[in-house]
Amino acid sequence: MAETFKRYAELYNGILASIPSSVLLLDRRLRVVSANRNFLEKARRDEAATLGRMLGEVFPPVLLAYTKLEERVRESFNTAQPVEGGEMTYRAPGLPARVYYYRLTPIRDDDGVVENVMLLMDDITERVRLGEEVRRAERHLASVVESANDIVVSMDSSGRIKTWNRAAEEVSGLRSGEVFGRHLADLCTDELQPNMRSLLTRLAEGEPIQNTEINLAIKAGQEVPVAWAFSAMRDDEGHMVGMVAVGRDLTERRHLEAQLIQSAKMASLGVMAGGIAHEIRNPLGICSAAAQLMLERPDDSGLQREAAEKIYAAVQRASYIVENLLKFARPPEESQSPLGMNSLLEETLSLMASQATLRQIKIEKRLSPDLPPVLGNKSLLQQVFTNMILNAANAMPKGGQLTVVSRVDPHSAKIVTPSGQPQRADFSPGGKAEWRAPVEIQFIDTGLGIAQDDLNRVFDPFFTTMPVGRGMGLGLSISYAIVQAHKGSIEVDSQVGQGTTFTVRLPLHGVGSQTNG
Amino acid sequence: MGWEARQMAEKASVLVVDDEPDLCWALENILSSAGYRVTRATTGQQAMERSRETFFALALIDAKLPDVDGTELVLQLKAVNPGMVVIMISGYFYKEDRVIEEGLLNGTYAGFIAKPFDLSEVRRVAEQALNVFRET
Repeated sequence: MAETFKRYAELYNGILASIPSSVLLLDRRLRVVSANRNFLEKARRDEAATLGRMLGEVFPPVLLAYTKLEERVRESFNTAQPVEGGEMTYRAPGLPARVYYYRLTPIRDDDGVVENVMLLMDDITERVRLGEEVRRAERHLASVVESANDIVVSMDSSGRIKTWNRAAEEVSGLRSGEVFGRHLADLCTDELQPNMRSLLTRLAEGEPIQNTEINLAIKAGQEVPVAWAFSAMRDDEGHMVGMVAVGRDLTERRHLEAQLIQSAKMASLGVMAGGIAHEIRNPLGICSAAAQLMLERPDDSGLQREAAEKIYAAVQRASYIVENLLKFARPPEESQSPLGMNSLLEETLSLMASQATLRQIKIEKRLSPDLPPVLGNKSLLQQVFTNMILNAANAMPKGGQLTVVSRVDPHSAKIVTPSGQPQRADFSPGGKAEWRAPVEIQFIDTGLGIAQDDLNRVFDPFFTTMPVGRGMGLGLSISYAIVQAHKGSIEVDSQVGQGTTFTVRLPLHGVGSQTNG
Repeated sequence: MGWEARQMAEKASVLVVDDEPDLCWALENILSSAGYRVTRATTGQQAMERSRETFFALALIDAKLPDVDGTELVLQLKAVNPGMVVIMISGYFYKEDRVIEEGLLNGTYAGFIAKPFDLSEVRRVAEQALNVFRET
């Protein structure tokens, strides 16, 4: 029997020595009676300096004070119950601090009397560190999202908002608490709510969604233009668990675009100024001469009448020029309205007419009398036409002819939708079916033409073949941006030595919004 | 204006070229009341046709015409009509402009009038130009 016990005792000691926990055995006087190898290694103590020592000699007083370890050991002796200790940070001499989870277990002798209490310490330093790292990563991610300049919205798979970052709060004026659980579509402007709803539904069905511009309705009936990018959140198995929408407030960009257009406009006014001065000095010359003739011959009633008529006509002409000039220089309004392209072309040409005469350019107008209206911004489209005309004039330094054509694209008119609006799928060389806007305005010059290599670059900002001081090279890129914003297109066709044709296509009033991305 | 000058003026035929019909009207009135015989043209081509039919002692030409540059027209007219004196009129240039200064200096034209102008100025410049012509 004794042999067997001895063997078990050795076995236990062996196990105790090899387990990755620190084990101390204490007696009622809180003396250490046994310490396993793990403890001695972690605490950097030898057996001699540990066994028979008081608990207070083995652990630093600070540790004993905050863990109340001695008190708890006594409690375990007294109650004969185990005590769940908790975390303790212990730093052995010369080693970095480690975190332990400890517990106390009473050990009874054969008579059931608690002779010893076992202090078991598990090193949880790694676990604590990992936990902290996860929390730090979470906090980091959260603060990235929070401090992002863009709106970041996360939603469940039905589009109900779960998180709404600070940028979203700032742009919308809605606090995170106010939007939680609401559908993102409900926060968009009334007319765009169905768009947002259908986008999110398609996204939830696994369809990739292109970036889209949808206005957010903000407080006090105002709205903010926002460019959205959408993505689906998936778990490790690829199941959809939610959706994310990142939105950029376009207000500032719109503002800068407007400023750029305005400054480009002012630059083109500079180019036009000479022609405009000429256009005004002519009627002034007529008025001045006619008035002097009236003074000189007060009794010639025929001449009096004739002169007065000429003065009146000349003043009207001059004020028409001044009026158009002012309208042109005025900063654009944001709004769009149905516009007659012919009258807009006439108005623009009236400003450019003398410019053309000065450069020996003949202007031929072929404006279709039954052109349907286009939904657009008058001032911006006028800027496009001005750029086109100035461009043509620059291409004809020795004079020539500029033909301005307006018409309904004969090809686009062949297919008429149920709504009665003509449209057409145009299978371009790229193989991508394109909807083509039907109102076509062409500017055909007989100028120098554009080299094939340059054709692709004419719409690039700051691309110009003009000498310094003759234009910044922004006209066409701004025109391109404006026409794009009108959901139209602008194309160029050119033969060196023959001339260039710019074709602007614009959608009809009420049709443009249904382009299929 | 002396008697002799008036006699000359009464006889002088003047060609007025401007693409603005009302300016032609004004110039015709201004000059005809001073005794000149005035013919109008509104394009370079018309001016060339008129000068082939008639000898003009003086031509008032707008510097910017729809079909031809004013200076170019002066050279063409002078080729047909070597004795013609020219006054340039413009709503585009001013007298200080280099092109105008050069034209006056090298004798392409004998005078320059900027729009708008005074009637007396037109008559004075016309008379002066013809006098200069007579003296040379």
